[in-house]
Amino acid sequence: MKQNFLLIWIVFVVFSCHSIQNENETRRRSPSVSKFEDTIKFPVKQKFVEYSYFETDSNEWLSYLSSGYIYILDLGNKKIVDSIDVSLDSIAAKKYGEISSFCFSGRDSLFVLFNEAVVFWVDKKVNKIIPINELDSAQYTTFRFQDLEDVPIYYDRTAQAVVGEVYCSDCWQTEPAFYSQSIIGSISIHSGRIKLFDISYPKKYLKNYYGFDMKPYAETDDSITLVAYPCGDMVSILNRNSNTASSFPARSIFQTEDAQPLTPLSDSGSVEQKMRHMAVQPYYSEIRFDRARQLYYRFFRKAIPLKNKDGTYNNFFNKGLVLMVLNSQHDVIGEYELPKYYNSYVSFVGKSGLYIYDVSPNPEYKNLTVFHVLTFK
Amino acid sequence: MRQSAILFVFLLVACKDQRDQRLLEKEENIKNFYASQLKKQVPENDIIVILQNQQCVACRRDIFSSLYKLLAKSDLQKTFIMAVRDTVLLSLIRNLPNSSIEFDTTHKLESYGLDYGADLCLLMKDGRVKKWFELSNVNLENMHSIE
Repeated sequence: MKQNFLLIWIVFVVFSCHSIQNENETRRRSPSVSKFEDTIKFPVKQKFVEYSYFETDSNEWLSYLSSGYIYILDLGNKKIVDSIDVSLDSIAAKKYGEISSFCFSGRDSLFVLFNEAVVFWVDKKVNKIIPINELDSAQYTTFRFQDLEDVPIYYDRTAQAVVGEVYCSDCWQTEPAFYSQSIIGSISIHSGRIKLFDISYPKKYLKNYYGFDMKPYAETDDSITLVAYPCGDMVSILNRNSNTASSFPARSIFQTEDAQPLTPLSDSGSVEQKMRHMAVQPYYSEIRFDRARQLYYRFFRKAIPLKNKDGTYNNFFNKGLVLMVLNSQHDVIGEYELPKYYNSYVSFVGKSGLYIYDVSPNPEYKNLTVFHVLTFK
Repeated sequence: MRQSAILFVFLLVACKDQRDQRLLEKEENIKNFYASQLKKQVPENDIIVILQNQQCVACRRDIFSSLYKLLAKSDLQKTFIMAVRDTVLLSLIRNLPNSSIEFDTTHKLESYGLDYGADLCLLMKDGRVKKWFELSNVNLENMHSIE
């Protein structure tokens, strides 16, 4: 009798472990879906440092910031159709700082995130200024609302709030405290109150320091914010309505080893060591959600050696680029190696598919803006 | 007690070894860059300043100002290696005694491990890299001399 119980217990434990393992294991569907690719050329050369895609009922637009103006490019007829002056006078510019992100809600409503304010434009006129960070120290005691690079702001029409990145301004990035705090917040456009959501870094970031491989990548759509981390296999989904976060595994087949921490910790003060670490380690970057096709796109950059056989050094841009495609059940349904001159930083989901900016030194593209549009069937 | 002493010596040697390896690597990097790209030998006794991070000269004004003061104190020859012909920096450097400028016009610094986002300062002595450091406010803050 005792032996039977023991046997049942062992079987139970084995099955439990098996089920835990599966939860963290990336599911794959084969055969992979086929990739189709189109190239779109715009007859102007643009630099996309800050950009934002948006669509209206009839059209879709790509907007970008350049020299104090936000230009609006009509993706359909490939022409710049409008521009909005977002430069501030010298006193306001000193007070509010620089622009780190912006987004549209329709053609008439524009939200711009400055260092110290969220400014709301309606029909090209400033409608509201919400002071943030240093200018609202009562609310922003130990954290800041800012797009550090890859978490652009998004206007949530239902909540009437601007969603974006928050980080601990009171912690060292080498300390676990930095990683245990909320990383997504939203600012009510009416009250100016900030709400922090229950989502923070994966546990591995609390245990070890990963140098520059720590900045989150996010995409917000409707009530969902997707968050991915350079060293994390998992992708987090934040449901802002319920303020709950879940995650799903999405590890690339091109990732042959786990990302290693930056050691020794004294290297945290060296830009060079952090850049070298970033160059060699496996690295997940942008995450995109295609609502119309119910697909997720995740970019991955392969691990590479610091030095090549000929003695030359590699940098981050020498890493091989991979695009993972996942379906709505979070199964990987395809992984594709892309040319290194595909710039995933400037990528977005449009009506025609996934747009990726081309930065190749091709002389034919010297005066053109080129996007590759990818679809999967 | 004896074990502690051994451990201490081991740690000391390990740390020293790591530091030396980085010094040796940087020496190899700069020598290779000079030989392959500038087609000359690396200067014997010089201060070499690599300014590859020229994206935002204005926001790095403080750092460059601190460096400039330190360089002005030194009688050594200073060589600046620049990625971009920035007129503001060029005019400042030309006013500095014993200075010369080399250009990395083909942007090859990165292939030689000399461009990872941080400006660098290398002190050459008898054809060897005696020390090197990244140019940052923190590194320059308490420095009274580069030599």
